[in-house]
Amino acid sequence: MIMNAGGKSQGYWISAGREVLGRPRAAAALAVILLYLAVTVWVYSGYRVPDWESENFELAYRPPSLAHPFGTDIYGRDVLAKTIYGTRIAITVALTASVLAAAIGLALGLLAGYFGGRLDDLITWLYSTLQAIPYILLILAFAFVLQDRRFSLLGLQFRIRGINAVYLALGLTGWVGLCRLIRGETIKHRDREYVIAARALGASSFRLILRQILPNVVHLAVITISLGFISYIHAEVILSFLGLGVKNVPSWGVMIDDAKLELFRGVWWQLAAATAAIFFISLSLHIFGDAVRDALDPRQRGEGG
Amino acid sequence: MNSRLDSQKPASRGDPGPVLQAAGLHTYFEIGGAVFPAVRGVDFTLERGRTLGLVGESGCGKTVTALSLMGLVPPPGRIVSGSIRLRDREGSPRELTTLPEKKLRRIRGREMGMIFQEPMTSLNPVFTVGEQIREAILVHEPVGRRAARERALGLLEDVNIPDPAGRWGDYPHQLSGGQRQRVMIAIALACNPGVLIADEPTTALDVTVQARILELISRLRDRHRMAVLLVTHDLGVVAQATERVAVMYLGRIVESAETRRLFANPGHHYTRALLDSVPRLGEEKRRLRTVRGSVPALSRIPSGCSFHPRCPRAEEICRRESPQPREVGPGHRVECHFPLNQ
Repeated sequence: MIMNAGGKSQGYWISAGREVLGRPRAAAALAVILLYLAVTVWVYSGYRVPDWESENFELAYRPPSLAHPFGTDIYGRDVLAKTIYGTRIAITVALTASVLAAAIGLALGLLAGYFGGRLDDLITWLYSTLQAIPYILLILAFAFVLQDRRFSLLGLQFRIRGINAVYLALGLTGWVGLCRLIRGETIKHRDREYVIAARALGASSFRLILRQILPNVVHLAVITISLGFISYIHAEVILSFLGLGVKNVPSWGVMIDDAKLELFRGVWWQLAAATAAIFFISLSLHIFGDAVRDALDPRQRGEGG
Repeated sequence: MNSRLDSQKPASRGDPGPVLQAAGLHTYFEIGGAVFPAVRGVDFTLERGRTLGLVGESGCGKTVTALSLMGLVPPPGRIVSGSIRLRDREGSPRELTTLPEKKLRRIRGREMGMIFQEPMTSLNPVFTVGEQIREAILVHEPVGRRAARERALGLLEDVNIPDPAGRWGDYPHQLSGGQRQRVMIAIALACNPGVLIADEPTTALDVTVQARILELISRLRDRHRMAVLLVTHDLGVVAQATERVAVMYLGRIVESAETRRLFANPGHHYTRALLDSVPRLGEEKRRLRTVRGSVPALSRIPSGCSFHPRCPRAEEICRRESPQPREVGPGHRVECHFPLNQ
């Protein structure tokens, strides 16, 4: 048993963070992810954002050049500007869906795993049912149902428009994998001695879940979410490609949709730009997610300090 | 030694007499229609400043008895009948078997603390030991985090952890087994309970560390006038750390007596067999005797005296009738048709 002689011992998250950043590839991947986030913030801020809207038919289908590094589309709009705008939609959708899915997946997984019995049956039934439906069809169904729906909450009127339906559909379907994982881990931890010891101290169920079990499973949520982020970006692209996502705003999916009419004319740059944008964020998230998983995996962190 | 716990010692704590009384306690597990009677009518009394040893083989119901006291019997187990009477810190009697979960929660930790066998797994691996002791205080007492930290540091000092402030930020895996058990004791005593239940507290520790942990428990017991229930299968631990001992076999207490008396003059054939299976210093070398046979399954408890299939003295009556407890000496009760040395 190694003792930390007098020194303050390192926190779990701090040492995990150090380990991730200590790997050059993971650090590079993180830099790319931060770049995408920065672009998103930049587009939202509206400060000196490139113009994608002005149409100029004389400039239609220009190949990449110095003035238009990624070329132009059928209306003579700058493809680089469209790609940059597309980042905003992709990242926003993925972030929102991740938060929603994480909240639902964690809450239901902890409840099902801890209390068991009827509640567990119900939640297991719910996610098994959702899981039985092909993923894209399920999202489509949710998005169709939620589309243009009005509802009131706390006296406020809400109307779900195009892209919001996608956020919700992704979040409402994406929690299944996380929920199943957290449920299993919670069952494992529920009967561990430290949970029983905490109960012997008079801690309530709520307190046990939040203060004893959650901190032991939250790393799994972090890993699952960082890997799930990619699938949300892909789903946004697919839904937009199918015409269910954003309208009148650039999105990578819409760009690929446009490209299917362009390719036979030899106009390849719009497809290339959207694909490259997706490729780099996907690759970076995968590398980063893998590194996070390795760093947080308790099996790889020895008992001996 | 100055203890932070002393300052909040309740007035009733000084009174002599029983703090906890279990009578006719039955705890059964029902699995798929089959009933497994883990505890079958157990009576004992815990008194302030005294330690009762509960000793027996694996599966005899020691741990289930301890968990029953805390109201922590895991489902599908439950207390079927019997009573557990606790005198709380205000001195008023409480019947625990009928208390709803919500009120039991206020008893656990405040009136009764518990420490477990495996100090590694009894501590949450993702929190520092300091945080865990502080949490134990905050469960019951609405004090500020800073005040709780002060008290937690005092507790670490009470359980003889050197340099409490330095150890505060250590994670459980950074401590040795003995230190972890000390931390567990600090956690169990965080709210100064009147009863401490120690379930095999030294089983996972080295023998030298065992002795020091037992000394610590005895010292804290005297200082805080606690009643201690020490569950163990180790007769050496019983001899060292208890005043009274109850021997359990298949869910019943078959013999109870003052510890010295029991070791010198056992009344039950089972107790005799247990004592004979322990090697002694200075004795001429011989083959150690073992208890004949093995513990029967809970689903097939023998008729009559449940020890009769393994008992060297068993006769026809032992197969037919359960023995009534009888007093064979002052404070010495035995459940046997043919007690020894009488």
